[in-house]
Amino acid sequence: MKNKQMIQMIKKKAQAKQVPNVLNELKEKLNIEALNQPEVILESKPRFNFKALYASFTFVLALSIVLVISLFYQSPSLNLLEDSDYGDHVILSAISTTEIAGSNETLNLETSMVLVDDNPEDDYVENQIDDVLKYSEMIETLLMNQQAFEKTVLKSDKDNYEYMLRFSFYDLNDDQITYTLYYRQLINHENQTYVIKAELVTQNESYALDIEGELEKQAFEMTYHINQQESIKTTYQKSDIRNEFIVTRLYQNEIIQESMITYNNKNQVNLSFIRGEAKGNYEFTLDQSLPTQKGMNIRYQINNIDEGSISIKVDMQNREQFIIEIRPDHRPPSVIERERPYGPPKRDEPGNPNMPNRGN
Amino acid sequence: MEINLNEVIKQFKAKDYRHFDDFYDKTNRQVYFSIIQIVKDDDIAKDLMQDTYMNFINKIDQFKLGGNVYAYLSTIGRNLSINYYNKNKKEIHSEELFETIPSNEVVKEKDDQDILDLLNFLNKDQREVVVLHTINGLKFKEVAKIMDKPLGTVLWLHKAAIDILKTKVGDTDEK
Repeated sequence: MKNKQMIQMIKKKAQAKQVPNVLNELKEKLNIEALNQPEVILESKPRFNFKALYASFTFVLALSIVLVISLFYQSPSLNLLEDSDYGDHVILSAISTTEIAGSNETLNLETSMVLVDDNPEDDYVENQIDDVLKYSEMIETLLMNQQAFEKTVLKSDKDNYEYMLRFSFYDLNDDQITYTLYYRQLINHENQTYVIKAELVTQNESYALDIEGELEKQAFEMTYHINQQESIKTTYQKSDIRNEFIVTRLYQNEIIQESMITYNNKNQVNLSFIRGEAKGNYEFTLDQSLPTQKGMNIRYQINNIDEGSISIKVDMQNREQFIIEIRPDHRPPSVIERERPYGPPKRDEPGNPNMPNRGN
Repeated sequence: MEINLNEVIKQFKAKDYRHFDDFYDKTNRQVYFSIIQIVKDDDIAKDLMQDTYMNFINKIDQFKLGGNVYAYLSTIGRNLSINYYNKNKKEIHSEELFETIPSNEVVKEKDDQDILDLLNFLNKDQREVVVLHTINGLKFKEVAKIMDKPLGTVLWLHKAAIDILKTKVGDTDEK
C-alpha cells in the first residue's frame, strides 16, 4: 500500500466516524434562541408611484445613452487578446489566479492559545513547498513553451461575451493543454484605456476576471473576487527585458499575501514571496536530464536560514502526482510526494471537475 | 451553500449567532478529533467539545479574522483535553487515557476498524500528528507550533506513523 492510499484510508475512516452532537447544549448555553429573533418581513401593499415610474424611465434612458456611447467607442477591428504577447500573459495570470483562489489563506496562530515562539525551522523549505506549488503550473507553462501559445479566436457561444479564445500549450509531459477564455472588451479611445470582462470556465466553476489597462502600455491589472471580502489581484508589466507579475491576495482591501514572478527569458523564472506566511526566493529552470521525464529544478534561499535545491518530477506511475526531492545545502535530503496542481489532462474522460478546460 | 467562516466569525464578534449551526457543522469534527485522541472517551469528549466552543466564543475578540479557525479550535480542544488529563490523571490513569501503549495486534478486518482503533496502533505523539495533519488538515508547520516540537520531528513522527499503519493494515487493503 502506498502512503497516499494509507492517508486516504485514514481520512475516509475519520469521515465515517460518528461524532457526538453537542449543538443543542451549546445553543442552550449561548442562549441562541433568545438572541436570534425571527426576522419579521413587512410586506407593503403595491401602490402606484409616479416618482418611481419617472425614476425608472430616467434610468432606462441613461442606460441606453451609456450603451450607445460604449458601442461608439468600441472598436470593431481591435481584439486585444489576439496580440500574442499580451494574450499569453493574460492567460498566465488567469492560471495562477485559479490556483491561488482554490487555496485557503491565511493561517494565523498568533493568539493567546498558542504560546510558542517562532523557531528557525519555520523557515525550512518543507513548510513553503505547498505555497510554491500554487505557482508551479504557471511556471511550468512558461518554461515548457518558449514560443508563443497557439490561439484560436471564435465567436462566443455565451450570450454575455463577444469572443471565445482557445489557448494551447504544452506541459511537462509534452501533453497539449487547452484553455478557453470568454471575454468582451470595452475600449475608450479618448482616454486610451480598456476594460475586459472575461470568464475562465471549468466543469463546475467559472472564474469571472476583470482586466484593466492602458492601450499603449505593456501592462494590465487582473482582479478576481473570491467573495465580497476576498479578492486576488494580479498586475503584469514589462520593461525592456523583464516581465513581472505581482500577485496579491486581499482581505477587505488589505493585502494579506503578496508574491512576485519575474523572468527575462523563458529559461529561468523567479518566484519571490513578499508578504504572507510563505517565504523565500526560488529560481526555476527546466530539467531535461531525462529525455522521457522532464521536470523542474529549483534553487532556493529562505531568510539566510535555509538554502538548497529542489527537483520536481512528474511521478510516471501516477501522473497526477509530483515527486519532490529536497536537497538542502546544510541538512539531510528528503523526498516527498504532492498532488500535482490540476494534474495531467484526462483525454478519455468528459472532464476533470477541477481542471479548467484541459485536454479537450 | 458554502459558508464564509470569516464572515460568520465577524458576526460572532458582534454577538450575532444566527449562523452558529453552520459554523458548528463545519468545525465539529476537527474539534472532536483533537479531543478524543487524548481523552478517548466520548462522554468526556462531549463535555470538552462544549468547553472548546464556549472558550472560543468567550474569547472571540482574540481571534484575528483571516486566521485558520480549524487550527485555532484544534488548539483549544487539545489544550483543554491536556488540562483535563493532568487534573484527572490520578483517577483515570488505569484507563490509559493519554499515554496509551501502542497495540501490537495486527488488524484482520480493516473495514470493521474504527478510526480510533487505527490510532491506537500509534504512540501519543504519532497519534497527535496524524490527527492534526491528516485528519484535521493542518500544515506540518502549524502542527509543530501546536505540539511545540521541531518541524523535522513532526515530519519524522508522521512518516513513522504512516509506516506503522501500513504495516498493520496495509496488506489487507490491497484490491
